[in-house]
Parts: sequence; C-alpha cells; structure tokens
Amino acid sequence: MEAMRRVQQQSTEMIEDLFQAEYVGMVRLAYTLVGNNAEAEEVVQDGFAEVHRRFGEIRQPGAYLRTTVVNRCRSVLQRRRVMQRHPVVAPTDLPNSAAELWDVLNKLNEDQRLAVVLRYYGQYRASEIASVLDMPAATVRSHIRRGLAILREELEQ
Amino acid sequence: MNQLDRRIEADLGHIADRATPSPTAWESIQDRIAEQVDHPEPEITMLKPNPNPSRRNRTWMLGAAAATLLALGALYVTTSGGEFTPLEVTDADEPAPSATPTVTAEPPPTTTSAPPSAEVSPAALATIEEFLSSTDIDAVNAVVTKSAIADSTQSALAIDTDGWLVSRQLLGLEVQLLSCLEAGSETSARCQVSIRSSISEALGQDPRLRGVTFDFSDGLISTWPAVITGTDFDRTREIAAAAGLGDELDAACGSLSTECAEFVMANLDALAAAASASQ
Repeated sequence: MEAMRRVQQQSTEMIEDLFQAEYVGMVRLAYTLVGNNAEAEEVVQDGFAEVHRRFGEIRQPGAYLRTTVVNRCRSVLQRRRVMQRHPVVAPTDLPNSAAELWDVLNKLNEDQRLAVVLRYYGQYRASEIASVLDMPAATVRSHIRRGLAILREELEQ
Repeated sequence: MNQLDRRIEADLGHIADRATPSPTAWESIQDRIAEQVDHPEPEITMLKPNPNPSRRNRTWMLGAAAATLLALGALYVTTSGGEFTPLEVTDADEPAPSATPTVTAEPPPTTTSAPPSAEVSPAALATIEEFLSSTDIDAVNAVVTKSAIADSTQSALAIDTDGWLVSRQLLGLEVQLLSCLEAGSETSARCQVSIRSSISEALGQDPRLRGVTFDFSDGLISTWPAVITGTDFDRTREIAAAAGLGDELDAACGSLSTECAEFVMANLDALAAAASASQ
C-alpha cells in the first residue's frame, strides 16, 4: 500500500512537471484545431489524465501527450461532422486576416486541416506529423500540399 | 518561406492567442487523475482459446451465426421496405467516424521547438540507458565524467572497480528506464525506473519503482542516483531487518559487492521466510 502511494506520488510529480511545460502550448494547439476553449481544455486535460494512467508504459510523456491531444481533437471534429449539431464557430475578435484563414481552414477536409495546422502552428516535420496522425509521411505531405493549394486559391482571391 | 506561409503562421498564432487556459486547470487534472484511481478501468482477462473445440461447440457457433444473419436480413427487409438500396461509400481520404479517440501506443520522440517540450534529448536518454544496461566497466566509464559522483554521498566516486557490475550480474539486478523528463534544465533528467533482482523475484516482491535524477556535463553523466549503484536495490534490506539479519546485511553490503551478493544468496531461505511473513 505504501509502495503504491509512493508510485502515485512520483507519477503525479512527473505529471505536474509536464503540466508546467506543456499545458498552455497544448491548449493553444488544441484551440487552433477545434476553435473552442472549453473543448480544447477538455481534450488536453483528458490527455494529461491518459498520460498519468499509462505512466509506467510510456517513455516519452511529452510526445505521447501531443499524440493523445491531436487524436482527441480529431475525435471532436469527427463527432461534430457525424452529429452535424455543433458547427465549428469562429473564435471571436479575430483580426480580419485570421478570421478569413479560419473560414478557409474549415473548408479543408479533416486530415488536410490537421496536417496544415501541425505543420504551420506546431512547426512539426512531416515525419513527426505522420507519427501523430498514424499515416505515411508521403500522405502527410500530400495533405499539406492539397490543403495549401486550397488555402492559396481561397485566400488570394 | 513565401508570403502565404508567413501569413498562415501568423494567423494561426492569432487564433491560438484566443485560447484562454483556465487558472484551475491543474486542479481539474488532479480531479480526473483521482477519479481514475478511485475507478480504475476494469482489467480484461484474456482467456486461452480451447485448442480442441468440440463438434457440439462448433455446431452451436454456426447455429448462432446463421440465426444472427437471418435476423439481420429480416431487419433489413423490414426497414428498407424490401427494396435494395446501394451502400454509401465514404471518401477514402476521410477515416470512418469513431466515437472513441484513437491513441497511438507510444509515439517516437520528437525534437520540435514548439510547443515547448520537457523531454530529455534522445542523446541523453541513450546515455542513461547505456549506463543502466552496461555490464562492462569500460562501457560504463565511457558514459560518465571522470569526476562523476553518486547523488546521496556527493563525494567523488570514480567507477574504477567492476565489483558492482559483477554483483549486479550475480544478483540479476535489472534497472529498467520507464520515462524521463528534464528536471529544470537541459543538464538534469528526472527519470522513473523500475528495479528488480533475482532476489526480489525469489522473495515474491514486486519490482521497486523509483524516481531518480541524473545530471549531465558535456553530454556525460556527472551525477547518478546512488540507488542504482548502491545496495538499496530492492526491498531486501527491509526484509533482512524483519529477519533479524539487518546488521549482518549492512556489514556485508556496505557497497554492492560480490560479498554482498554471496551473503544474500546464503541467507535466501531466511529472507524468503521473513518476506512471506510480512505479506
């Protein structure tokens, strides 16, 4: 019992370190994907709980957290598309240019949007996005290329 | 980077700026973790398949499958008014909707600069793993500084003897690296390790989980946790005390040595009895 308490304390300390380093960045990333603060925080907090739950199994908690957060955002987007009840509402008070980008991002399919945001906001390489989205790097590059073509066409009109 | 790239980056930054992380987020996460502890996920028991399924079982399964197909067919005819309608085919680019999040088992390490990361570098991780798994003194010395010290003593402890490596082998001591994060700076890593030995296994003790810290200097380990190279390798010390052998163990195991390993092995029966009594 004492040993179990000690392990729990150690894992909680590690999660607290991870929280200090990653929480704000993860919420910002999630927000660029789901456009809703409450949902962004929900997926990120769930992500931290998931990391804690799998504490003894994972070697790179930060990388695992990022993958978990992106996949949970993906689930939120898929659920919205299926239910058609919660259309993505644009964040308020955005500069015109950013509001325009937001609208066009919503015209991309889900994989294109995820790939573009992870590349341009997260600064991830194609190989890293491939790991997070569980798809070949060539497919990621294709999504980015197609997504950019749509963005270019729509934004430069 | 062209103008479009710059614009996308800047505008995504503006969008991200609208995120307002809650000041009570940490408390919320703690609540979620506490909930997990209070209500852990049910354990799934994997049953071995019957290597010799009987004819009766096969017949039963075939019957059940046929009944299911018949029921589904009847339902389909009822709901579609008996007319055939083509199945919808989804776009191959769009994955089938899923109610549950997909989580990759263990993503590889990333080296991106944003968002900020607290992971140790792959090089540091490899150095720690080399330190923990080496059974050769030259290999150990290759990953530590010449003035490396153990954390608890804070005194220079050059690894110039292979005594502890030999005893590690004798004791079957294994230190498994579970996870590592930077501990305040790039030159310090806080890691979670699991420590087990053939003794703890023989005594029916679980591996011991410990949080340990490694410091680095010029890419080499300058401070390592004494627990790795000391005698605090598992719960043997606690068990020895319960068996009335605490003083003798301390005398034999002042350092992790062949003498220590031999003492533990010689008293394994008494230690096992004490371990059994303490459970």
